[in-house]
Amino acid sequence: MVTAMKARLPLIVQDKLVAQAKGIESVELIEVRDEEYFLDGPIIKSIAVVDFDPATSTVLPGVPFDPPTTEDGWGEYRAASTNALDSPSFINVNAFATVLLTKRMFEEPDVLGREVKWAFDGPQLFVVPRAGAWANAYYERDSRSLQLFYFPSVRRSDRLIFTALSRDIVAHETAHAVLDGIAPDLYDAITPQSLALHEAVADLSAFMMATRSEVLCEAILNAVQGDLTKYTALSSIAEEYASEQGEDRPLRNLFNDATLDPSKGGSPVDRSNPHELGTVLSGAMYSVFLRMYKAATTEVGVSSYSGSPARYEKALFLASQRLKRVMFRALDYLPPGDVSFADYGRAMIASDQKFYPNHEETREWIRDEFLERAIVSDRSSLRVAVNPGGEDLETMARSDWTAYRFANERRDWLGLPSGPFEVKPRLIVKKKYYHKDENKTVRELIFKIGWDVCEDNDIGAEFPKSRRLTVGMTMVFGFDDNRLHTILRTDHKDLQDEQVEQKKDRDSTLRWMAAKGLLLPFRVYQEYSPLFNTRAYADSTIEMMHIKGTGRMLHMSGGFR
Amino acid sequence: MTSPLTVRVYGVRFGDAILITVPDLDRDGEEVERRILIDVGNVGIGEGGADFMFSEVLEDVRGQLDGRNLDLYVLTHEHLDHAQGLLYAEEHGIEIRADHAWLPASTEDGYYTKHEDARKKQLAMRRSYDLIKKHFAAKENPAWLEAMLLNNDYRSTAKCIEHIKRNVANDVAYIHRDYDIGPHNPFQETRFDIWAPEENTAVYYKGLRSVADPHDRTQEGAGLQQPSDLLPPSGVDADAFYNLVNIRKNGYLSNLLMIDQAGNDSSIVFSMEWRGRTLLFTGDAGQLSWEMMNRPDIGKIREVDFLKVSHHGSVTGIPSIEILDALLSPGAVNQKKEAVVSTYPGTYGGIPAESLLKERVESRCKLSYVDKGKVADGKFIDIEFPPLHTP
Repeated sequence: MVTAMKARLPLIVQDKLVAQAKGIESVELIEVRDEEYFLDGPIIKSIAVVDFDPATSTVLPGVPFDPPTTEDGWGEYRAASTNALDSPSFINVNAFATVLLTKRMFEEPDVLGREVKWAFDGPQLFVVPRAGAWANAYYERDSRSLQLFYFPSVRRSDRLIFTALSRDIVAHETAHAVLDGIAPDLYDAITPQSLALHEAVADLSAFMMATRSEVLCEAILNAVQGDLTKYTALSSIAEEYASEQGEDRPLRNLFNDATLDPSKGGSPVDRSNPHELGTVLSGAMYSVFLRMYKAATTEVGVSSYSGSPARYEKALFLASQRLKRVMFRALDYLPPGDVSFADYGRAMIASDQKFYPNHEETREWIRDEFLERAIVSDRSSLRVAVNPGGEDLETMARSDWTAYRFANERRDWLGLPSGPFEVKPRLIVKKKYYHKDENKTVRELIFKIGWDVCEDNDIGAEFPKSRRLTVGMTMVFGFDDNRLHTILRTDHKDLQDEQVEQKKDRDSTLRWMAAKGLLLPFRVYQEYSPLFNTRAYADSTIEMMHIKGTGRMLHMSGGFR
Repeated sequence: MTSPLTVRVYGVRFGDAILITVPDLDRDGEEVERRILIDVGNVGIGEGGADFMFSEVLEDVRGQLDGRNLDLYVLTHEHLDHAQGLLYAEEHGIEIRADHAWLPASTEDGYYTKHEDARKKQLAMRRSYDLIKKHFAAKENPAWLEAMLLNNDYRSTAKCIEHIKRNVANDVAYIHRDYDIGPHNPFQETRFDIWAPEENTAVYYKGLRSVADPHDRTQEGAGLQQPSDLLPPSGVDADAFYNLVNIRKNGYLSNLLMIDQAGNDSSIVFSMEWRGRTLLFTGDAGQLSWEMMNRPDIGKIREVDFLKVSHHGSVTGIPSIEILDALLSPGAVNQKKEAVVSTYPGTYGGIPAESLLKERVESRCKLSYVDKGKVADGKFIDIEFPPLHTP
């Protein structure tokens, strides 16, 4: 099989509906460099498209790859022409390109600064672009795959809508896979905000991927004359998917005023429903983006839109890059176990604070939005502990024993439990920090410790009276000064109100899941097994409930929602 | 006061057979007894599907009728454990006839011409069922799987339904929630309300995972694109690839469960209002159907005096806590309210869900079990409801 280092790939701009509405080209070409190889499929080292024939389930031959004919040329997949977007070959290449671009966005030097590692053993994420007839798409850790389904349009029943052709949907599902690799405990989380965090990050990733289409950004800015403080195709998620199911609005809108406490204004959400709950966080971050955009327009010196559209485009680019950094870099800082929106907020503030200590603006905007939407009750809740101290970081990164000893000798100081705790594999990251005054590369050691706590489980007589909850802490050390810079933790003894709220939300979600039959007592689950593959179950063999599979269940039971 | 309304639930193992005797009025205002028979069948295979008791059950029904026709026969849905009995009776010389019959709307000739989306989904389900059946053929399958396969065998069920449509009733109505039962309702005094199903049963069909048999060359499109069969593509880890294929194959079970659920969710669910009493008959309505009935724009869920527990006491048949609170009573057991579950443990995996029945139903009302050891084959229990007011 021929290999190549770089390729040009066709990619749907957003989805066909948006393209038609905006009167823009449906497809753009993207250039991908620095892959070890491209194979028919498309297949690369980290992603493999496997096209099962919907009629027979046989594996169809991959889309052939034409290697470059000159040393400096570009390879291309022999996909059908862009006039045949529903052809299997185009669907395969489009899904691949979207997954690859989304993954690469996270890997950029100013985000994670490293190659994404999947949550499962093995290097490749499978992408199944025609997984079956269903208005759904999901990431599934067990099969190491993105399953992208298709469904008949309600407008024209002879037309199939392929979720693999939606940039929003594929980017959203890819983000689930990426996040699962970074924070695997969230897959089995029981705190609604933990599950909602997955949804919000996935939606925000879809938004970020939309901002990467110059064609789309230009069309949108033109349509709103540079004023993004209104509903646009950038802020809407999965328009075509919703529309082709007969809905008159997109699946989710990031330009929203969703709040956890509507008594102070804003739109209420069902706090026990992770999909709905996620809009509070994604709405908050979209609002931060709008502030960044406004600041960037001033920075680049815009006047009227007609006079300087390119400057608005530059401002949009700058704002989206800044949002990307602050949102996604913080994912490495998330402590193990269940996390809340406030934990994520603290992670964002910690990562931003460390490298831009004198630029408080972004952190203030995050605090404003989190307060406005009642994610926190006061600004001090987003305070982050900084505790310097000299350590041998290289040894701690390499040796499990040294890392364990470091934590064990400081149980009290770190606030670890007297019982067992788990030292997670340490991570050395190298990230770029851009600023108008200086750009620098920073090397950090990220050290996470997780442990289980027990809490009351008042969700019904058929379930045990107590349940297990994983909590944890993240320590961030800097190699430049050999010091511990940040400690983030989820067992906040000093934030009792937050803890009580989270517990209440967990109870409420688990009751909702039990009432819907989505959460089953282990005995019932066992009797039905393996039929109940869309449900989570409560393993109560030691009279302590431990729930597994919530993230997967939410995706398989409700469609792409 | 007049005679009570009687709900007679027969022991037919894993199935349903319910005879309701209702004191009603005739056109002259004189009290008469009318009878409704709901379903009759069982799963047709294994211990829970033994057929011998149907003769005794239907002889009892005939005895109750004393030479008359049933006033109404209701087939709740197209599953063998509800539809099989009348054809069995006919084949064994026991003729049961009704003045009226209510069948699910989807059994009407021409239904799938009218509802194109339901047709497509039904076609996909049937295609999927055939593949599932083929996949599990000649294998040693657990009893519950064999039962589920037979129960969902659309060819066997079609024969039973044809018999009911053509031979059992003088008047056949094809029922859905918005259907006007007026001319097809033989009762003068008793009021019926149809809670489910929706006319377009497509709403009950979820997606199917593609699990077509790679060796089946009769499938549409097979062979045309020279498939490379199930060899891992070049550049893909073989173990990971076969793991993916195996998880997709598990889709056979998921699909079978989905087909089963769609059939259950298409059940006719109806309430009867009689002299201050409300009785609810649910067929095998599952989670999706309950959710539909509880939707604000449909708003069917309300307090009842009697609940026939759906789907033999399965996890999906037992309504949510919210719905049960509305149907029965929240908190303490209400001794005036009754429920019955007809079931046969060990037939379908996890049915009955005993802990859920105790927690959710027995905690709210008096629950009678018609199952192994409690009601002998072919026998019955009677649950009586004295009227709360005179006609």
